[in-house]
Amino acid sequence: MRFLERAVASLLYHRKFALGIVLWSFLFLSGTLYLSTMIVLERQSLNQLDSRFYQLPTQTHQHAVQLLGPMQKVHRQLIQHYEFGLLLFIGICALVFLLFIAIYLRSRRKEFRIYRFAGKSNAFIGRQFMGETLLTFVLAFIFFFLLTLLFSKSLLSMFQNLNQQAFMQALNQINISRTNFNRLLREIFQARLTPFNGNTLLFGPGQDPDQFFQFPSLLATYGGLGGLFIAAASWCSAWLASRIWQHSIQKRG
Amino acid sequence: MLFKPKQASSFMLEFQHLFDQATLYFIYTPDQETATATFQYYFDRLHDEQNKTTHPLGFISQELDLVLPYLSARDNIFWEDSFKNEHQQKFRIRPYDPLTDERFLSTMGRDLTRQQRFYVQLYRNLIARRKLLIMDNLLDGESVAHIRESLTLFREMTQQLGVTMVLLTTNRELIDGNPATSFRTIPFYQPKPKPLTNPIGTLKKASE
Repeated sequence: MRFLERAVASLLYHRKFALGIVLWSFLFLSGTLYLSTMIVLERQSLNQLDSRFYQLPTQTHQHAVQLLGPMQKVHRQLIQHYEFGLLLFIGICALVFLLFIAIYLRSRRKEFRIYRFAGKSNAFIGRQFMGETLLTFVLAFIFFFLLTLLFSKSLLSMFQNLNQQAFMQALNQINISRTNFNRLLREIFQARLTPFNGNTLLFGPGQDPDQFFQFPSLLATYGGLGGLFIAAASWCSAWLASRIWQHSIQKRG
Repeated sequence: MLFKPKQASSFMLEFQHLFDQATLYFIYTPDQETATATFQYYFDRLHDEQNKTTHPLGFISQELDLVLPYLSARDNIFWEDSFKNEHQQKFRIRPYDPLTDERFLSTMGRDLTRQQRFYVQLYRNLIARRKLLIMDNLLDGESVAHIRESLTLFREMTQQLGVTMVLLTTNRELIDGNPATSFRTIPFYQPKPKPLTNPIGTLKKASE
């Protein structure tokens, strides 16, 4: 437990560093949660669209095809768009983290020297540094997780609104005018034989309890990913830094 | 170079062979700069990360400040819990034993005095079973009384604990007073070649 005690003492001493990691964690978690929820929502809408097409009365199929074709296309485009965005975001976060660590390690050069003089190996230094960053990330993750669960209802409706806005915007871009769109919708739902109306055809049931339970699993996935990355990146960079500085014990540092 | 081949081992043996008595050795360094350079040179050549637990050499420096500020003296000395019980009484050679002084042990690294910082480094090395301790010129500039007191402590340590201590000093009196265990030239030390002086600077100086 010495290891943990040292990590906690160091974090309390290096508050700016701890704060930086916490901010990074919040940014990473909220960004990945937003983008991955968008992907989930889009996928759900797409699946729903397919199944609902067959629930429509056959006489409206002619209109429906005109309407659903572009909608499916937009959903697929948006999914691709969000997936690319997610990858890009994770990449940028990783770069920012590495940069932050690199800058920060320089200011802690003196500590590394102390560990080395105390006979500690590069691996020990790497472990110790990894312990600090990982501990901060885990605490930030737990906090973020609880906060998300607490506000999951409003968070989900906010995400759904954003999702709908993005969808309508994308739909406009593929030359389906709003009036034309509404006319088609009206014609499809004239019969009123379906358990859903024009609005729910577009955006699914407003409050699907299933969607709440996506949050913990999405957070766990990206939290785990972030944790693994942080552990690997900080261990490696501290090990490397310690290795490079092994033979320089200049007074400055 | 990230993966340097090991070269220190034969040098280490020579070094240990030269300082083979459990006593206090003095090495004369003409000035502070040379003392620092020597200390660094020895560390570079002798520090061997492969043998960390059984490493025979320890380094103690006043200049480099080798105490973590956010850990207590206790945590700076004992890296692992398991060391504590094993060594609590072993290094008691005087009525005052820092290892049983709770006030000293619970002081944070950043609040330690010069002398206490020395104790932290000393006991850290002793507990790691280091048998040869290399110290920088940590007695230079101290009062005569303090130097006398420290030398007595060092000698008691070498005799009772069987460790070898090597002290760098710019103080000629210490060298003259202990001719049997003193080195007037620095053993093994090869100073780095000085960078070439700027020819324009030299010309300027010459013209002045």
